[in-house]
Amino acid sequence: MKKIFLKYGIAICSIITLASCDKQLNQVNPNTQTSASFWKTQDDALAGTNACYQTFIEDGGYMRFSPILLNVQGDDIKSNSPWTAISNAARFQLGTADNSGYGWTFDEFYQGISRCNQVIQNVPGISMDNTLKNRLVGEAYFLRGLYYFHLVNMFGSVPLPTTPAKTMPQSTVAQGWAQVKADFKAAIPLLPTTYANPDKGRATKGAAMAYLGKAYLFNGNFDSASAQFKSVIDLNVYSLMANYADNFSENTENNAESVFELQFSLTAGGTDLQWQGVPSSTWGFYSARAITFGAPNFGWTDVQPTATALAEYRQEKTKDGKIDPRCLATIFYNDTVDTHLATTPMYQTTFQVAYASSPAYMKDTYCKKYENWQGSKPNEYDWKSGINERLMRYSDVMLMYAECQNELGNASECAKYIQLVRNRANLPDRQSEFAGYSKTQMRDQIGH
Amino acid sequence: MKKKQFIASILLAMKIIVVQFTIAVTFAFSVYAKKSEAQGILDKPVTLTVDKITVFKFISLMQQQTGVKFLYSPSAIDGNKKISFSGDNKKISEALCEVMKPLDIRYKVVDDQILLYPEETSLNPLPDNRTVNVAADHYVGGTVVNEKGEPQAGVSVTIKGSSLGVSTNEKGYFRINVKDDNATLIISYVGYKSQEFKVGNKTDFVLKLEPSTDQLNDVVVVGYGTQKRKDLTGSVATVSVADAKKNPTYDVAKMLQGQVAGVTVHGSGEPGGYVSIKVRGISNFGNNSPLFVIDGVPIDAPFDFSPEDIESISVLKDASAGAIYGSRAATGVVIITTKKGKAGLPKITINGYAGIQQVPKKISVLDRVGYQKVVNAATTNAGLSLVPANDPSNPNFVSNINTDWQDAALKRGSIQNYNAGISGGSDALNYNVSLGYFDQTGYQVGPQAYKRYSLNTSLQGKKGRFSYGAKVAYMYSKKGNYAGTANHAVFGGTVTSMLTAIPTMPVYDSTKEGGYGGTDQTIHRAISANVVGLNSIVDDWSERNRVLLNGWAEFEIVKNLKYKINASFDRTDYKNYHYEPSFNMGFYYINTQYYYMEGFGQPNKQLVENTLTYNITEGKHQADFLAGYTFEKQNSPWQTGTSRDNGSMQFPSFSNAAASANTISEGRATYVTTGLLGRINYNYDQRYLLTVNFRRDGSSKFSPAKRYGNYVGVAGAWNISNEKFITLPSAISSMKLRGGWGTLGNQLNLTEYQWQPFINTASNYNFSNTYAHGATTVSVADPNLHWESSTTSDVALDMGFMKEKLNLTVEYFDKKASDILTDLPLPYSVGSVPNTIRTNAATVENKGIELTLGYRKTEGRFTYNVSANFSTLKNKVLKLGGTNNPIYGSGSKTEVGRSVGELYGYQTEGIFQSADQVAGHAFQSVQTSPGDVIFKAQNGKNNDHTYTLTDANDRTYLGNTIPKYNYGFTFNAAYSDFDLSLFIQGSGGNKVFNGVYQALMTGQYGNQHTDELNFWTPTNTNTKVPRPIINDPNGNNRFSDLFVENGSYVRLQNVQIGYNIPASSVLIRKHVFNKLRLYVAGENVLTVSKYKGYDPDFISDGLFNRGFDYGSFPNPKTFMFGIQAAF
Repeated sequence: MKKIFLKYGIAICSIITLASCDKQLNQVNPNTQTSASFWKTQDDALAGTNACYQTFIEDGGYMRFSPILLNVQGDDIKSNSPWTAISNAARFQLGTADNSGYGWTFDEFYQGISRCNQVIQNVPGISMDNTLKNRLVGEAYFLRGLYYFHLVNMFGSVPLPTTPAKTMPQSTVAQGWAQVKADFKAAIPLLPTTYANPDKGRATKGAAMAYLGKAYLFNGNFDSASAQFKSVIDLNVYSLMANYADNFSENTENNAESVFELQFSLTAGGTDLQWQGVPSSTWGFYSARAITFGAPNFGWTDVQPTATALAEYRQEKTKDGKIDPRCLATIFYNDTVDTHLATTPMYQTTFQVAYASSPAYMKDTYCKKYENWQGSKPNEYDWKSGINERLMRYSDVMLMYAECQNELGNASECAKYIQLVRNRANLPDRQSEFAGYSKTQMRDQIGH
Repeated sequence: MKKKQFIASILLAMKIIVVQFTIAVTFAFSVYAKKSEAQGILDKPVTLTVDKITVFKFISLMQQQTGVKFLYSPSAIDGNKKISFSGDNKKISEALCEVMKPLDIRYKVVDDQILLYPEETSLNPLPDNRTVNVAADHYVGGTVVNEKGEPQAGVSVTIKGSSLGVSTNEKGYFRINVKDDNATLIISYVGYKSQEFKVGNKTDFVLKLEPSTDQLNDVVVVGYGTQKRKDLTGSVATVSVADAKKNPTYDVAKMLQGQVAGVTVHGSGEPGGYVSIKVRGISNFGNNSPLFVIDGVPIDAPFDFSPEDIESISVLKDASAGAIYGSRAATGVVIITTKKGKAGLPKITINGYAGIQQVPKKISVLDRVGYQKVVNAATTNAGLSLVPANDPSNPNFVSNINTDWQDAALKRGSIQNYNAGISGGSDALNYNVSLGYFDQTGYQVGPQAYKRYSLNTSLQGKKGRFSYGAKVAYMYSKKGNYAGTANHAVFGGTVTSMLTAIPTMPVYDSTKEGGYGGTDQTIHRAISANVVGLNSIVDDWSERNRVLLNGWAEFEIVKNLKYKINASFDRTDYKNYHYEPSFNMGFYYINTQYYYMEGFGQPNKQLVENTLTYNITEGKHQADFLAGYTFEKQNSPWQTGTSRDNGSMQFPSFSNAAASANTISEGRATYVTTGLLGRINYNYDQRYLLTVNFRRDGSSKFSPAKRYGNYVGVAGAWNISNEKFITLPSAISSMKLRGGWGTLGNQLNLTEYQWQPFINTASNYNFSNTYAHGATTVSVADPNLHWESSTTSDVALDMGFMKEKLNLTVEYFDKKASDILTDLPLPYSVGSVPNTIRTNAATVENKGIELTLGYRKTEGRFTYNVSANFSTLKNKVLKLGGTNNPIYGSGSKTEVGRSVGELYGYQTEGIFQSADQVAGHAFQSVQTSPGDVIFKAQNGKNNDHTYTLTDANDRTYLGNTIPKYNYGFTFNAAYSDFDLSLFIQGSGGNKVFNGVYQALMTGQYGNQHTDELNFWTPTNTNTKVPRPIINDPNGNNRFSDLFVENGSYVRLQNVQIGYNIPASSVLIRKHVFNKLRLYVAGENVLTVSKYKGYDPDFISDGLFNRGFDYGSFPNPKTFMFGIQAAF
């Protein structure tokens, strides 16, 4: 009897434990929600759209490599970096074996596009405030256009997925530009002209129009480009900052001249730099541009302006015979000979003191834009810069508009806008002189 | 009926007690040791008046009244005799004397029970069902000695053909009553041959034990049970634990190096460093460590437990043996049992060793003068001005610093291990408690070390039909890690950085923050890590607290049908700590912000296993059945806090940081696996053996549709030597042919919840310095993820020669792993991060032959044994998933038809000697000049200057990184009180990439190997070393065959010489010690290898990048002294 009880008891117990244990095979991730349960609420829509901006400030984005790649591949910039990812880019040598740098840029921009695609696909179906819905979808279109602008501009024939997680073949460059323009066009009607705080820094109608114009310009469609730039000017919300250097400092971000800028911050996020990988809550919103471009003993000096660039800046003096303030805001160099300054302030010292013992450094030229040399920092070795990257300034719009006008044969309109920008630098009024230039002469002048 | 069963189980218990355990429990214990205790039992009072009842009844009444247990064999004593007794408050001893003496029944106390036995059998009878029939008294006596001539206690002495037996006392003495002169004595003792001696007319004997050479009857621990070696059908290797323990290490995995055919181990010299172990090659693209099962509990991170506690190790190599572990066994299983207590007086053992360790060789790098010469040439060749520190005409020229960084950064390390144990108990409950302490300090300057305290307690016993056991293990360890900084990469780790550090950098510099020297961007131009400074300044350690609780109970439901429940709980609390203050070690190593990190985790695992076993013997048929259900649940919560801000922390603590400097993150994960298992072992007449295993596993790591996997193993064996119609030559004492086939699963290379896509909630942004929460899907997932599986076929021949003195096993295996989880690259345009998708894609095959040979011999006072193992391995990728695109690593390529991770790079053809030669060769770079390396174009365009060399077209395979063969050889010898052992192991047939040498042959600003001095110049053209040139425009230092070397080596891993204090010494005679052995040993004594680096045995377990030495800590040379004592 007892035995039977035991036998069946064990059998029954085993079956019960068996069944209940196998139920435990259904484990739910306690850390976060599944993708299938997302895109249901207004908060989801907002958070999903914010995420579209984030990849722009990662390592391959504007935290470090986008400005490096866009800068070093020009004849006004040199790189003596020991890191070949930078110095080889400056020599137009990119191997396929090591994709450091440019590969990160390519990769991260597509991560951004995947996020934009999710917003564009999912947000329209969410029941929420319609104005906000339109704006968010507009932001996603703008950002996708901007990512594709970079990709097509930097890499040429790239795949153009417009839905999430889709494998696509390479497209032609023309198809790429068509996608860029289509995205900006879709964004313009959905976006507001301005934002109140705390939303300052989001994509605006003006930004989308300016970039659409730039896309036309890059394809030689001066007519269409000109029209877009003109409509930005006609929005009447932008103006030039009186002080040119305000465009590269941390205190004067999202200013009147700013059409679109990427937001960096020393205070808003975590404490780690946004290298690459799966985003983490410890990531902050720092830029590493300052340390990378920084002068010797203050940063790594991976990117430097050339002597030619300095010479160009020094060609024309201000009305009062001083050096162009844009030169002083852009390049560190031993300028005691040709300015009113006895010494050049550099962090907590001066250029002349910092390099007193190294004649070679004294003769060289270093980046000054987007460096924190005016503040209280002794150098850039903490890696952290909070200076927003101004992607599109009103002066760009004006100059691109001028360029279009020149190409379209309207020399006087071109000269007018060029001089408007020159006035801010206190350069002599040469509007009428420029108005008399031929198209080719004017091109040379713009090139300068 | 109940009673009968009770007695039967007592009998069984007694059988076990006497046959197996008495041998270990010395006679001494049962004689005097128990005096006081025995007296206590015998003095218990009895008040009883009975008339004409049977002896059995009388015993049971006594038992009822006193609570004292009586043990007896009903056939040995005549229990049906009627007796009468009357006593009031009499002592048990008195009552027994009165009643039993007339019946010729004697008694004695064994533990806390009273054993009744017939007078003739003297002490320690061997109870049996057969009737005791003694014709006449004929006592003989003698002494049993071991091969060294020492008296051996606890040896069983029986009379052939009868049930009579005794065991020897502590002086090796026995006395036994034999029938007549024709009787034969049989002596037997664990580890020794069973021998027979004719009594004849002698009355006094000196009998000598001979060490056993027969391993066929050795009990081998297999999954969920044990088997005799001769009954094995699968591929199960047993490790000689005594030999393995001679390797001084904290990690059982490292102990197995060279011990078992088919097991490969790589370790490094870092204290507490990682050890990689693989059974039969690479069978997946992730974790290839075998499953470790310690005392029936699957254990992760077995290095937490002290190897000193190990009693036996078995390695299940094939699928038929491993199938019982189903989803856990695809990478092999290592089954470990730890020491258990044995009934008897407490036995105390103390073992310890202490030694010194140092790097076995020095790598020849440049001093100041050589360094300056090379760098000056490099800058001049590049058209750059000389580096001020290297330019004699510069005021900053360095002439007074000449640091030898190997001298500065290396020291003598130490290793110590102590273990104290106590064991004993009774059959109802025995215990073993051991305490261990391990301490290893690194040989690189800095506070880095590994320390471990461990406690292992095991209890087990048996009462009636219940058997039970429990185990409590606790461990604390602390490992100090070498400098890794959060803010600055230490390129190539601290070993490579130590070698490439420039001689013109001082070790110390009191003018710099932190006090350590560094380079200057302007003066030296070199980025050079000061490893002495970094190791000392950066405080990085990890701490582990681990508790393992295990309990089991077994109940015999009916005869031979047993139910067992085994439950365990295993929890580790770990803490990782990192603090780096702000410091200035020059140039790149300027740290203006502190970084503080504390990470915690509490991984814990619950395991419940229910098993039913049944065995049946019916004539020549014998079968064992096993069925079971297992449940395992693992939780892995973790939390990490970090703090980062300007300057240093006044005192490292989150409380001292600004709130904005602190961040916190956490994660939780749980997975559950369940398994149904079954096994049948069938044995017909010891000739034909068959094993069938089955397991069905479910795992929460897969989607509900893909959750379960079924695994089967079948194996058979034919004991040819037991076959009636085959007569083997007499030299062959045993011969067995066996083979098996089976499938196994694996899920280790998958993290929890990976089959579903999830929302990343940290894709944040900010607008105008205001945080803006971002959330979205960032990673692509494969919902069809399923189990990895492997299929193994195995054929083997086990042979014994010369009465099992020589044993040989030859085995061939073919293991095919399929559905291997691989991170297949996704096109970047998908936008997934990571830009890979984990999916079941690849198939890899491993084939090999394994040979194991053992020989032992005794000649007089000289005994020795030799064991050797040799295995080959051929790895081949059969499938890589999708379109079978090759997988590239940095300098490696994995392609279908070749082995995993073969080296892949440029082939060199010497040095360009002239501009004409450059112009006549495929284009390399605009700056290619005489003195640069010639790289070969692989597509026939080698001599076509219009063709440009590219990575995609002109790299080629440079060698296989997986050793073709591994071997181990052990020689143990003893002469009198001395013993000697040698252990040699090695591997070969593989190529390795010497990344350290590559880093030392750059011709850049870092320090260089002395080989670099022979660089090419127009006047020094007969050289293989290219011209040094800053920025290396021709890529002379690229990944090429210049740095590929032969990885073969043979190493005298261990030499040990021991001395046993002889039994005749005062210490042993006076019972200060039972055993005392002293030894000296050398570890990593001698290595024969062509490898230029520190150590050809290095850690390189990258996914597809294997065989890369990027500065693994070389295994140190150790000299040590040890002591082993038992009390």
